[in-house]
Amino acid sequence: MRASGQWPGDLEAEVLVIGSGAGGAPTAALLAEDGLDVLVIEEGPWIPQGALRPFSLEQMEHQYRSRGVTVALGRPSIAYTEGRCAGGGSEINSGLYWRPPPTLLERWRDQYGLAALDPDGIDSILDEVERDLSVQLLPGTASAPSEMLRRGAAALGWYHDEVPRWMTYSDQEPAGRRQSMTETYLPRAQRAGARIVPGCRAERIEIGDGRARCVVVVAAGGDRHRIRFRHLIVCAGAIQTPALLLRSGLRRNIGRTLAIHPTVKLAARFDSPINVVDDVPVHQVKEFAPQLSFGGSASHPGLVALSLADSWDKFGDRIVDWERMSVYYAAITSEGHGRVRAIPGFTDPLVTYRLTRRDEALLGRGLARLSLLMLEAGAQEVYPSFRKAPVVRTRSDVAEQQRRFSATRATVMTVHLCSTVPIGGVGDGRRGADEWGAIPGVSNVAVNDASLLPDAPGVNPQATVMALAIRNVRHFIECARFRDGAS
Amino acid sequence: MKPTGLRVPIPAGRFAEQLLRHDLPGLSDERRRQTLAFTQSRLRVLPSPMTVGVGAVAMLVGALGSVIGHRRVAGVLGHRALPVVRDYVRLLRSLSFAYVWETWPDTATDGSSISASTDGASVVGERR
Repeated sequence: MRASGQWPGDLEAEVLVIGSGAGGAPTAALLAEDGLDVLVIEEGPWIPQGALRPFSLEQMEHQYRSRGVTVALGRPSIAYTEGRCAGGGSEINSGLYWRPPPTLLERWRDQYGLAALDPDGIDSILDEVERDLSVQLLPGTASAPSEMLRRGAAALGWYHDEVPRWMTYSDQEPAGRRQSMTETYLPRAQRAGARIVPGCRAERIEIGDGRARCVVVVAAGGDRHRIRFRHLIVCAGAIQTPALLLRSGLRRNIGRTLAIHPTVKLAARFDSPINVVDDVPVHQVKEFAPQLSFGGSASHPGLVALSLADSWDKFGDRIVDWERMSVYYAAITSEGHGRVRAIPGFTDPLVTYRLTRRDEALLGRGLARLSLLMLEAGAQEVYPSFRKAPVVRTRSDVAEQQRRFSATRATVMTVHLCSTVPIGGVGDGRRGADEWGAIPGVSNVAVNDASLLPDAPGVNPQATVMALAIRNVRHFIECARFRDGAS
Repeated sequence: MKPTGLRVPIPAGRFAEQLLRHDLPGLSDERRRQTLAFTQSRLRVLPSPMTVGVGAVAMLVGALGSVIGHRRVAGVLGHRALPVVRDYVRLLRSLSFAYVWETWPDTATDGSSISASTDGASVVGERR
């Protein structure tokens, strides 16, 4: 690996992988281990896991796209985050691991004509992923904010559980070390001979006669270069992957079906200090899943202030109590949809998202139930994050909260983005890629990241993304697609 | 056409300062200066389509401020959620609040320092 900013001269590869996150890293590792000449380019820098405080502004500065200020425009606009570093989103997310529910995979298979999607096969890949990422439960007791979720759900009789994480725990790092891509699959790819070039942005793919010929990249210094390859696998995430394909003239069903888990938040104040500045709760409440899920967010004092900001006139004086507060979220599976558009002359894509009325109502119900959960957990006061929200102290306040809620007044955000190049069977009119991620109409380009998910899975998608990516790469290898040049 | 990033400064300065004075009147001059520098640094790296939208609203608000006064505009927009402009106000406020309370968690609601002696120090860092 080279440091960002140094261009390593003429580059070419048998397989070029664009992006090094949960899709790109396992793709690179498996191909390199099969003996292929693999080059990975990554727009962001390589920052070792643990070098920056999790969820801090400093981390946003170095590892998030646009330093964390990215928005899908709409009514309301929805703030989202994207990793922009070696390892992608795996470096900065919560590390909470969810297997895709078997019913989800069966639904995808049946609804989208994915004849080759084998839930048992995905299950066995997930076993491998769990070993590789050291997925495990917390060895000790959960943090106080996590315990509040558990306590509230238990009081209401709602289904809840501790979510395992991709973490290792040791005496030196009792809080855990996230087993992100820079800790696992990227070093594995390097050991097998893959080259990784950070600080290198893919601008467009040059295509001729039905084949991708080269990728024009912009190095950290601003110089443009061309990288040639036999096969190209785009793993730049659910926003940047469709943006690159669109900039390159590949438009059929690309970027038109963005799916997310819209999320609304609140801050809850308890009678004693509970705040944990650099970690998130491990408990989640799934009583109403997949439509509605509850969990805890990062809650350093800056984020507590943000959660109070919509009603600062009313809530602002509570910020001095931030040590007794923590931030929680209600996430929904949305029936709305979004788009990613490439605009000529602009580096970045335009992202839009439209919630449906059902989504807006569900967000309001979700936030109300979350307030109830917090009261049952022992919260003295709850501060929902929307304009004109009441301070919630009793069950009757919850009803008033729901009455006043409007999604256009709320701070809505998401961290799960997917489905912008959805896989589909032959008869699926919305498919952007075939069952294995290959892009129709261009013989040597495939996608292998969150863009491929047919729709939002209702749980943290990283495990699903990794399992599909590994499945697809193995299929390509088995077909001797790369080695023999057959496409 | 080769895509290029729009990295032009968004003219938020006067309005952002007055909004910060309106929201956090007790914030010291030095902390206000640092907070505004942080806000500007984030506005400089917005995704390029956002830069155009936010820049247009910033120019509109700036022009209004130059006519009737930035403090007055900040006072009105700080309280009223006017369409389009409210997202701009929310963006500036979010950046400022996140920075102030992450950098100086001992900040009171009006922006004044509770311990009054930690300018430039990250108390959160010391809590770890």
